[in-house]
Amino acid sequence: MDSTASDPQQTETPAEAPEPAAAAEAAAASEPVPEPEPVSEPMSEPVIGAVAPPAALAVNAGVGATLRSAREGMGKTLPECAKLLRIRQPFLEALEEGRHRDLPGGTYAAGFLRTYAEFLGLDSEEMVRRFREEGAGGFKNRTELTFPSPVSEGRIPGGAVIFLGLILAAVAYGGWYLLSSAETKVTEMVPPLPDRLAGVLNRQASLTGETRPAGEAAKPGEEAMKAKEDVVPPTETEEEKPAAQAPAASEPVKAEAPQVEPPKAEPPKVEPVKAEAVKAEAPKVEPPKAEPPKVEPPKPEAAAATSVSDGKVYGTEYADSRVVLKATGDDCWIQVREVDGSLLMSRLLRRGDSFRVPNRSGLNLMVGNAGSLEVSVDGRKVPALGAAGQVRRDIRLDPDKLAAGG
Amino acid sequence: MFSKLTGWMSADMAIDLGTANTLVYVKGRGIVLNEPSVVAIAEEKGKKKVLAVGDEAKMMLGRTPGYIQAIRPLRDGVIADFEVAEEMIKHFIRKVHNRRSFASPLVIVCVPSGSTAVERRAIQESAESAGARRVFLIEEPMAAAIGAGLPVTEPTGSMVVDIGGGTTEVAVLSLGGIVYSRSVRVGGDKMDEAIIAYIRRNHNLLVGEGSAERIKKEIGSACPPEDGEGRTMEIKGRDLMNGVPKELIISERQIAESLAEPVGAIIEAVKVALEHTAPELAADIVDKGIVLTGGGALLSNLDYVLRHATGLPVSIADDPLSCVALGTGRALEEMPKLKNVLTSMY
Repeated sequence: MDSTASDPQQTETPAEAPEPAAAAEAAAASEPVPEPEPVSEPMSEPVIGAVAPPAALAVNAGVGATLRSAREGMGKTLPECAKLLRIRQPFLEALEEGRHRDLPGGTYAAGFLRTYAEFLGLDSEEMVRRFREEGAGGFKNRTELTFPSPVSEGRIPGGAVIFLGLILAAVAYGGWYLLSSAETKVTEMVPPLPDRLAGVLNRQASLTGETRPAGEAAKPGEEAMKAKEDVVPPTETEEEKPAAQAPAASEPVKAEAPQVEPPKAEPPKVEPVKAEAVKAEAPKVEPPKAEPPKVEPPKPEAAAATSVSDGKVYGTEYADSRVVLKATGDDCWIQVREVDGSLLMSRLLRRGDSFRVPNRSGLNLMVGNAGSLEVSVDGRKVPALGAAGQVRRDIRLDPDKLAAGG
Repeated sequence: MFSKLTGWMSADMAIDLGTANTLVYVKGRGIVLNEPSVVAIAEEKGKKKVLAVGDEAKMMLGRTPGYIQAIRPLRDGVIADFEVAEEMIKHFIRKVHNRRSFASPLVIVCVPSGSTAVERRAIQESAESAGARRVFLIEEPMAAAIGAGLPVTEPTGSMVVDIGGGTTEVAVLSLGGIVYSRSVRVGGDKMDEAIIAYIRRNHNLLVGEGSAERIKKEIGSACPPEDGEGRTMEIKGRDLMNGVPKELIISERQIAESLAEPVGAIIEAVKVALEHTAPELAADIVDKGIVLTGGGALLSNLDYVLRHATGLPVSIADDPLSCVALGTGRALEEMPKLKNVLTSMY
């Protein structure tokens, strides 16, 4: 044909396009084709066709309109095209009317459009590009690939297990942290209590009319709460006064121990060394407060309590205790057994710690460092049980016997 | 665990190891390399050394002096020369992987569906010895269909015809698997050979493979034009009668005639595949038709011929040359999801 001479590079120039179509028609006629519907109704278009040249409309009309006008320009009906291209007529209609949803998946729609556009002598790549732009919403370029997978057997996925485990661990840690921090708060709240103790002490002192200085010593602390001086249980306001008060209160007591002591039979043990210790471990003074003032019957007892206050005091539950074991030098391990051999207590007494032995007969003491253990009976110090570092077993904790120097 | 770590550092890649062209798709970067599968080997003092790979080597094809050999290590879609193929893969991997070379990459290579276990093993081993950390194989028609964007995982039949350099793969896919596949060893190479044979027989002119390929690309057609000779082209070669170089003009019609046999083989393969397709899938295919991929899809009028031979709509995929590479690349990108389509020989 003439077109081949003029344009050897392009197969599908508009002028040439009808030829393959004609051939296709011939082929279609010769072989029986399973064409679904030889529709004969949309014949209205060819009548008005051939009016608009496709190029004029192609500029900014939609892809569908461009296709339709090109087809009409060629004087072909949809069924004819469908038969030639073997593309089902509904798909061609959908293409012309821009119904992207009625077209099969992306690749097929683009393929149909390309075939159709080439058949009509249009620039297929350009048409496909425009088609993609048009259908940006409903037309997906990329097919989603999801492989059919066996139904899961309802097991908890590993990821969830790990996640839950992490959450549990976090909760457990959080809880532990909270609890432990609450504990520290308790110890922080403790210091004010010696103050109350001091108050109690003070009141007792003023009652007896003795030990004036003790009351004076307590005064600086008390000034803040002078209004409620007689009220023993401390309120929040006085609790605010920190540990500084505790040493203030307890130190003077010790400082003037020489004076106070004789009447009270306070063991002369309580010396400056202790005072320092008190200062150092002021916040630790809680045990004295833990043993409530109410169980404190006689004065010496109270004094003993204060003098002992520099270490931990074990056995506070034995209110009627007469014998007190106290580690004065180094740490000292003690073990106290009942008469039947069962263990009453076994622990290491740190320096300053003391143990109040219950008033019971038949208790046996075993001590790891007899030299550093100070034994006092009814507040009176008795001779040491042995030399430093000496281990002694089977010491009867009989107060009378101990007092007698046994 | 460790391999995951190195996976972050290495550039995993998908390789379409084709008979004619090798395409390399790097994860996250797309297709980064597209070169002919040709290796030029020089022999120096008895030792063979790679002189050039790819485009450069293709220029040498058929023009080499005695000590250089330009080899196409793949024939009919499978490795014909194991060592040279290994060198080529190594070269391509090094070329795209130079920046982060301390971690070896995971590689997915596609293989023809009709290849034997031995051939697959050869491909996998050569990729492994070329420096891959792990090698997976994917069947070419599956890769082509994924690359063409067909809904392969849906319960609907899709038919893809991938016409490569060495093989033509016809496959029906559904639910993420290959329902039926057929691989014939007819492709671009066979078309070139047919053109060479035709010209020699009818014009007593010997043309090289490169010239034949050029002729096919320029005026090749699956069916002769309606009337007249169609487009024409000047071809150069050696006259067999008197042994001198000669030039003559050849027409589209003649080339279409010469291509009738390979095209007929492709049509036959498609028809056979359709015959073996289950009726439900056939019904789907009647609606949506056949999608052509691969370089052979660019042969003009092939879709037309196929359409009229099968009576089905035939469409050509976007960018048919890189469909397989894109599909293999997508399998790489969505590896956890698409691992069903990947295989390994061991």
